[in-house]
Amino acid sequence: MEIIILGATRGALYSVIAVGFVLVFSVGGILNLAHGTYYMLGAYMTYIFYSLVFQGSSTAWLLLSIICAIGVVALFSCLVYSILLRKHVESLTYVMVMTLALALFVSEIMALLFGVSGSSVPSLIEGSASILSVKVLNQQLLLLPMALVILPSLWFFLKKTRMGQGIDAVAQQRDGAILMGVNADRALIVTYGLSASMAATAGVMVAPISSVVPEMWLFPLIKAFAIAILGGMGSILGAVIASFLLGYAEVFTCFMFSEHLSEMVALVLIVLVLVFRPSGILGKKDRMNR
Amino acid sequence: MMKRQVLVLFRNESPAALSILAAGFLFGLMSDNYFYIEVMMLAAIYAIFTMSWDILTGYTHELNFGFALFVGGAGYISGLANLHLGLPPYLTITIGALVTGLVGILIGYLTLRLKGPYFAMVTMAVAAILYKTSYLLHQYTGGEEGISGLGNLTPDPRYDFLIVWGITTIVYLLLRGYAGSRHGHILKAIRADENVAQCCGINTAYHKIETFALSGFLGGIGGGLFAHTQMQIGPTMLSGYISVIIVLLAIIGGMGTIVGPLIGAISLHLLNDYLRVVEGYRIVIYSGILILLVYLAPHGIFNLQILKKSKTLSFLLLGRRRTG
Amino acid sequence: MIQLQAIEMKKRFDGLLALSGLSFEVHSAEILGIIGPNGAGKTTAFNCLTGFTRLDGGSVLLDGQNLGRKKPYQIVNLGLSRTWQLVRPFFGMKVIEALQIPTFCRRVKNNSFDQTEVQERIYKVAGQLSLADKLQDTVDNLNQGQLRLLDIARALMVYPKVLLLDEPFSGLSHFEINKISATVKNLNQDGLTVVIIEHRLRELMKLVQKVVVVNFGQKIAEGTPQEVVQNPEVTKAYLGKEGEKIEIP
Repeated sequence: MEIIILGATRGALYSVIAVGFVLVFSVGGILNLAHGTYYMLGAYMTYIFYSLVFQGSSTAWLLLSIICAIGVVALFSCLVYSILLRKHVESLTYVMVMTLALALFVSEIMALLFGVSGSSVPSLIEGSASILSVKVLNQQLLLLPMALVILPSLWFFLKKTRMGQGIDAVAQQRDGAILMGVNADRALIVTYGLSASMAATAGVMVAPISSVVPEMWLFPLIKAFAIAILGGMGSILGAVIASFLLGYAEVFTCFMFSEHLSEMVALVLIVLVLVFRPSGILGKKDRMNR
Repeated sequence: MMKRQVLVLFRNESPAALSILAAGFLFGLMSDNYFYIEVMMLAAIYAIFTMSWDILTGYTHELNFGFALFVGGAGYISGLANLHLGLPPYLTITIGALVTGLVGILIGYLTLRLKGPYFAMVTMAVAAILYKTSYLLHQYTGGEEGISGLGNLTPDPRYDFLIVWGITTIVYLLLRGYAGSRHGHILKAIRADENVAQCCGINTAYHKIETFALSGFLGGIGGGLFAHTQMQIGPTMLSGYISVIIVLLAIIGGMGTIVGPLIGAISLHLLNDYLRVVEGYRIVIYSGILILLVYLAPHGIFNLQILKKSKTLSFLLLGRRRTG
Repeated sequence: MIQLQAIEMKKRFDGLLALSGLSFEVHSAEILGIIGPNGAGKTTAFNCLTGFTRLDGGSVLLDGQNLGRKKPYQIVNLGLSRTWQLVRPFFGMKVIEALQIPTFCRRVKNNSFDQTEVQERIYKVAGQLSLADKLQDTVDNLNQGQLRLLDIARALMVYPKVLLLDEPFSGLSHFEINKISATVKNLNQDGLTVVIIEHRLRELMKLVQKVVVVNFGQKIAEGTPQEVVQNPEVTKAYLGKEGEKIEIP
């Protein structure tokens, strides 16, 4: 029973992280290794706004800090894209190296400013609930509605709005979309910002449960990787399904074996899937050859 | 006869690289400043890492993002063999390098089909698995502390330095020779178009695996040297940080030149060391500078168009270009 | 003597039958043309012959030897060489370097006495394809026609028994087509077997001795250029109706 609930919250968290990662890859071919950094920055910015800027202590202030944090991360990511990435976005090597170097850089800055020991952010909802005799933190449960709000609205954005349809078109057929008059560059920057703010949202939601430390960018990045590969690297639906698969697989390993081993699940999955079934478990083969 | 062959070996070499290597030797023989000898030794070890990374990634553009696997893997193997079996360093370094060479063959074989981001991801993940394993097996590997108290190469740091610098020179000449030979040409053909290279009757899979093995072997030698000259090896050498630093140093130097990664690694490592004057901010400033350099010269300093256009500069830095 | 034989080649892509039992044979020192409408399976046939696509059924024999599960590079070493529909030269190299790559294969080593002979062959092949004065140029600076010639030169470097040309005329001017035609004819007179896929029928028909017409992954007609253009099946495949003739000069 515990496995079901914990797996679901974990899957929900992962899906919000990974969908953005996959979206940026399919729209711009960008393998954004700084994705985890935006997650980390989401958490840090909440801490900065709540404890240092507003110095408030009510939930309202916390909510405001969260909104500011996500906004700042979105702005920052757009700056990163337009200053650092835009010029050489075609070069895979450049993008990977640049984003990873950036991730290290930001994490070192955070270590310098706030130390490596961790800063804490209060929960939106304190306390815990018992569901079917399983005790779960409220903040953790909050992850489920978060995913339930974000994912459908993302879908709505991509399918129903003009901007979103443009992004979707670029993801499916880049050249075709450009010929049809979609501004691919603008589609990419919007996607990049969107994906970063989704990662930041996830970071904000997790901040109260796990401590906010400079290394926290690595963990979501590896999960996003594994999920993207498991889901076939291009499909958002695949990513969502893969998120929950990974979430359950990890919780299961954690219960059966140990906490440490569950951290390996994602890594081993990356290697196994890529070596034996490079198209992903849920993906189509032709995605690989593009 | 012998003498002539040696001369041929040097004839096409980059004067810049040769003079830096020679200057290093002189420095090692003359200087009494053991602190700087240590610094230069580490710089040379980094140069071994970046050059052996470059032979695979620079020449085939298959981005190896997990070079820590070879470096740290060989470091741990030779460290453990030294500590528990009491084997002398020259033997453990060889064993470590042979193992990583074999691992290179294995990974090369398994990841042959993968291209671009997928290859990068798999190398990254394999290195990360080893990193995590070093924590899981902490009773053997010392977990976060790593293992220390390893035997040193020689009792005198000066001899250590000369050995390391000598090996760096050998690795440099070996890789330049390899890259200038038919093997290197074939790698460039694979980089341009693998299918067409196959149409030339070339077993491209074999050549990629061969290069992977060479890259792993030489990287492993570097890792072993690191373990025995620093007399310790920790999980940092297995971490993503070291992989990224190697990639950054090699890219800033200039991928696919061997000279670039050599000079890039040495000079940037010295810069890193110089930044000790602002110790608290060192890593931030250092990584900031690296990012700036990648941003300004994404193909690396030795691949800048200005250098290629000027005949003198390109000869001085890259050596004679062999054709025919 | 039959040199290259395709027997009942079958290939399926995601439910689409690209080759449904295509058979044909090429006699040594012959120039064979393969024609057919777009999507008929011509390039798939080439990919299957050269090992880039694995056959679902049927087999390919080169001088009686089955090429079944052989890898592309092994097939090249047996003497079957090809060019690509879209030119794929080694960008970033000099022409002479690009022509050097094929000399590293086993077949060239077996066929040449020493390194000087290999070097001489580069100059000879480059001369045959009028690239002799371009050897020191960078591949990136060649025009479309020269790239086409380079691609053929590269394929010739490996001492092929059979040369497969995939649309060698596409995108070229009349002058360039004539040049390539003349070269192919010369090579053929020296004993090289050539198979050409081509859409430019007028130019092709002047060059080849035999034509195989492919449609829906099958051979629908075969014969001399004259016979083929008079075949009503062929006109139907190309024009969608019967009764009209394809003109050849």
